Amino acid sequence: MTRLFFVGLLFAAILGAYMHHLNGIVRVKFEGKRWAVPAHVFARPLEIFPGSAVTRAQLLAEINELGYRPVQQVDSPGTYAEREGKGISLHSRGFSYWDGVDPPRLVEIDADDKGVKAIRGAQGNLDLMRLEPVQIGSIYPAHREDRVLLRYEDLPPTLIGALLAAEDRDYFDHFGISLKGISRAMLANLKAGRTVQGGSTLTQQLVKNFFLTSERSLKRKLNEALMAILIDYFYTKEDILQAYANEIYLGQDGQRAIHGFGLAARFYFNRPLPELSLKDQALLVALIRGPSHYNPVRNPERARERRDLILDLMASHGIIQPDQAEASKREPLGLEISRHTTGGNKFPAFMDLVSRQLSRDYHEEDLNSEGLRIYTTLDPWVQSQAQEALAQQLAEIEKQRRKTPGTLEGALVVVGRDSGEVQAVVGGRQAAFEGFNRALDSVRSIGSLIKPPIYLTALSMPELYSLVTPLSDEPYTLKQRGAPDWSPQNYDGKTHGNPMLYEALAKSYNLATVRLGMQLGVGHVAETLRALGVGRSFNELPSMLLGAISLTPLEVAQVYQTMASGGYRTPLRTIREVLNQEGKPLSRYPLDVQQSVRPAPAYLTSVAMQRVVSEGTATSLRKWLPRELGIAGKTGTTDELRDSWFAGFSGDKVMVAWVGRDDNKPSGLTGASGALQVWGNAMSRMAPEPLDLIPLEGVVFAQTPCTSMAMPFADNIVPTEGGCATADEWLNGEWLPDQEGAAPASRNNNGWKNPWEIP
Amino acid sequence: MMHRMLLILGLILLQTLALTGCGGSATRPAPVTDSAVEGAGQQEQQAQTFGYVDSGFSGFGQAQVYASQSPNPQRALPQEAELKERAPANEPSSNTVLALMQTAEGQEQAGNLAGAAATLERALRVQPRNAVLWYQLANVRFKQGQYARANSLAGKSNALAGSNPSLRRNNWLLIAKIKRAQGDEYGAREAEIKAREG
Repeated sequence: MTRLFFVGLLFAAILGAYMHHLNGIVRVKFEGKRWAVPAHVFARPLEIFPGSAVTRAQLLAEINELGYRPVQQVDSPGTYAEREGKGISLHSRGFSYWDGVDPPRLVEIDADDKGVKAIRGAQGNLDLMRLEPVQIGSIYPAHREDRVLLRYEDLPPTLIGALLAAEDRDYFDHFGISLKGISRAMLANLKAGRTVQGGSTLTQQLVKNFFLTSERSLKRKLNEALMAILIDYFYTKEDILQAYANEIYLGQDGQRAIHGFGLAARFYFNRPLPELSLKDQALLVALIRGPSHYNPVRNPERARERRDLILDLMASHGIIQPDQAEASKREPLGLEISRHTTGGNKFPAFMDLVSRQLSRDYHEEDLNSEGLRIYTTLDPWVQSQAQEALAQQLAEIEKQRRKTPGTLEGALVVVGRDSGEVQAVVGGRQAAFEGFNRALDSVRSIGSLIKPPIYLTALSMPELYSLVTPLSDEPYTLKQRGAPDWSPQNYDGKTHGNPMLYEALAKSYNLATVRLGMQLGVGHVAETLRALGVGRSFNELPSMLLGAISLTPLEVAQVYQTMASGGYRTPLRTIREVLNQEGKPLSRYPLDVQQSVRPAPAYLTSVAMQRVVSEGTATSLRKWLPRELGIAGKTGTTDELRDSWFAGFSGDKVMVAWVGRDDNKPSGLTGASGALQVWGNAMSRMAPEPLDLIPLEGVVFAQTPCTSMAMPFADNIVPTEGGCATADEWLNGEWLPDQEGAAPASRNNNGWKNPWEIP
Repeated sequence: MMHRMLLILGLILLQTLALTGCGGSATRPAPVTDSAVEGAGQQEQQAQTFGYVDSGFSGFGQAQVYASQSPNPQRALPQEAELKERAPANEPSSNTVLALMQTAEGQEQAGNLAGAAATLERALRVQPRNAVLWYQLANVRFKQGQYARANSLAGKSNALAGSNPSLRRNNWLLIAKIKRAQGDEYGAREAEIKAREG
């Protein structure tokens, strides 16, 4: 008897120790971080305010993308109705941003094809609201599990009811495992003579998914039951149900595994879980038994049959009324698996840039497991317009010029003029597919895109150069020891006498530019390039003056952003904020500016670039955009027409377009016939703001004998009688400005290096 | 206790007879690592265009320089009227930006400088070329001790200030404070002179 007692005691001790061991495992998992949740990446939230240029079409595109449902009566978050004429009634969902919370609200937005006129809310007109940002992708771990985590409170009671009715009726009464369930299952199995029903509780299912493999062994079964009891003992029913709702596997989307009701609602219906109807909830519960067997896409009838079964079950358990069940059963599955949510990232070229920026600041492990929320600068509207424009225009050019379709490639980058925020990145014609990202990785000669930085270098010396300074466009030969003579040519093969500085840029004269660049010194031009944001090293050779320097479209965008924003370089950004899973900010990427070149010369260069469009090499932009917009830009063409470039800006956007061939063979396109057309097509879709250059401190407008138009001059220095003198005449002392302290001669006396020494 | 354990054990044995299926996967948690914080240092940049503003146009054949009229230092910071004046047709109504400015001001007064900066950045997304917003952001960054950033932002505000001498003056006064905080007394005085000159 005593012996039996000791054996029992020993057995109990061993079991106790084992339970203790299991308990450790359970607690680590349950109280620690339960899942590796991929980082979710979002576009910018759409800001809506009276006077914004967001058109009705754009607004509708955005709310459709967000999965708002068109309804008759707008009565719950996530619904909208188009009112006759112009208005849109909308019940926003509300969203918690890094800088505050926007509550869900019912508004009427007046918007037409020009923009938003007014927003009316319940308490009068609103000055500003925003729509929650569209999710544009996720950063997955290797095994590609995805989730949208939910709290117990987020679970609709009807969903819980359906879940328990179908999977675990005694959930709130049992202690982790269910006697009733087991006996019911045993009975059924005995009757059938095989396993037809499982007696597992939700707790056990959760344990199995959390801790165990799917092998069917006695040991595993034992562990499962023990752990289920432990979990039930230590945690509340609600906690366990919440974990279950987030863990349950509900489908497969290519390589991405759909886990939890939150993501499943997004995936199957493109809506947050609380917005699902009864039939949708029933379908999700139906999927639990076999997401592949009941796959509603591949086996819609089977899925519907089981969905209806769940609806009946809900009615028989009193969760819903029988007539509700009947009504729901009459409805189709109503899936909304949009092409976008199919696992991949919507805008791979942009996501590529985001990933590169993130990988500088975060470990890969954190990105794919910490559930980070990454808010980017992407404007989905601008991005899709840019994508369409590139594909459309390249096809058009191929057609017009009888080229083999598909031989041309291209890239586009769009950034905010002052914010430096990257709004769109198009890496090629097939924008929806991941592939060679030309916007980031195609390093090509920039040709005449180098010219504005050269002219900027000159204009930085207002005592010596102004927009009307005559340059020499005569033939030029550079003799260098150990190298063949270099005799650059103009594109038209002609020379053009003494064009004024701005004319030489507008018409893109090579000879005048090379002569100017040699006067300035290649080193000075290189310095300007670095100041404008070129980080890559390059050879400082005279050939650089005609664009023998290779950059990516993104790098060009930085250079032009600096010039466009008055010399204030804003490092290009793709990320605004990174929040952790709980919504706490981890890192922000604040708006930063660095004065890189002086505002006045940057301003004058912009004025000259406007002349490129109004009277220079880019006049064909008129086909796309009204002249009044005052667009500034520069065409670029490289040797044998291999690369076609256009970089330019409106009042709000800087955009760079590149067109060429992947095999680097001549494309037969100049900057104007290729990239400029793509640029124009794209920009004409984006409602650009006019470029209204703000006169700066020290900039004066004056008329000189050289031109009939008033021109701006920097630092209050305006050439008078000699203003139309050539550089040679200046050098020979035949003309001196009458502005005090502005004479080159006096500068020379102060040790100023004469910039006109031609080597 | 013993009884309950035995009972449970029995149940477990029973349960194992009624085998169930369905697999799942478990994932390993990864350690949280924080990284990247605000305020990567940047270089100080100098150089500003000094001197007088402004525009003018003279008859053909004769070039002229128009120096600015003397600024009126009495004028307060531009408020609603000024913003309206500068807003062309398709631009945010002044209310939108004003509302955000007020929010930012409230946040600033409550000591929530990061919040104020975020609100001002949001306002700048609505109206990127509003010189007053750039000035206010510079001010908040200064209070946060981000001197280099504040200095650049004030410079940017100046570049956009156009014909707004009072704003320009405020920017120079802010730059003077920044310089002084950085221990650059000479730079501070220079900026103060600019402020007086307009």
